[in-house]
Amino acid sequence: MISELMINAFLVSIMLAIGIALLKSRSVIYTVLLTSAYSLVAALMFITLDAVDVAFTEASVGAGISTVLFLAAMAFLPKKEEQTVNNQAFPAVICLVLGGVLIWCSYDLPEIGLATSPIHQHIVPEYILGSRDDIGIPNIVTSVLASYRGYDTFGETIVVFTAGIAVLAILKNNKKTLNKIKSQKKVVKNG
Amino acid sequence: MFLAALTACAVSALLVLARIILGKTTFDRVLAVNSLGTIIVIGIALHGFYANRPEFLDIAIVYALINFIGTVAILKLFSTGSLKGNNK
Repeated sequence: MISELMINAFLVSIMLAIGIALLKSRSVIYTVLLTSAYSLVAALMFITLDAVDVAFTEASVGAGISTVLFLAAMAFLPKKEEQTVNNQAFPAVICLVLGGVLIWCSYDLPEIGLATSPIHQHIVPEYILGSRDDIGIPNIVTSVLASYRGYDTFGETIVVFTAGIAVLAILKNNKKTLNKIKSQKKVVKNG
Repeated sequence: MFLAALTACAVSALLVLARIILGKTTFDRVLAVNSLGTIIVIGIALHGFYANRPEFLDIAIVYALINFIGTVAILKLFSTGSLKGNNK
């Protein structure tokens, strides 16, 4: 019979194939398409892991908004990525060592869903027991996000808002800056 | 029945993946990524059926919408050269 493990292994191998194709791609639009496909598969993976809210965020931000943003940025870029000439062996070794350390550390993690693991012991029982009387919202996730950790959420919103303003400020003057750069290049060529 | 549907999904996902990676033109790839999104929508619906949680169907519908938006954005970029307004 099909087990959860087989489904997850299938999804991970699809993601691995997309990742390898991403490494080899030199066209910008192809890269954007591959990251979009990767996000979609990751979203399905999150759903099989029963993290529906994370999957929702992954699908809307990863596959939806960031694809559109990448495409909007792509309109300003040349179509082909330049070939890198640097030696890539050293970064590859660093990546492999880091990945190995992370996998090694993952053996120390408590089993998924284990009730006695520290993350379920510290403050979560208070949230679960007190949510209805303290906050009065039926959904515990909402009461944690909006009230118990309300300042956290507020700070995150400010950060995202600031980032949005900064992006708008950069993109607004883009045409002027582009023209300036072009005229400077002409001066260099002529002079 | 569930097993048959899951196998069909997996096989078609692999075929579409091959088209994404080997695809001759960019439009093949756009279409293939869109099809992968559709297959994943079916996968979510199947998982909801298997786990006895019919509310997953709503999520599947939202996924289909997001998938559509992405494809429309890519095609608009191809037809007009930018994502700004209606300028041609």
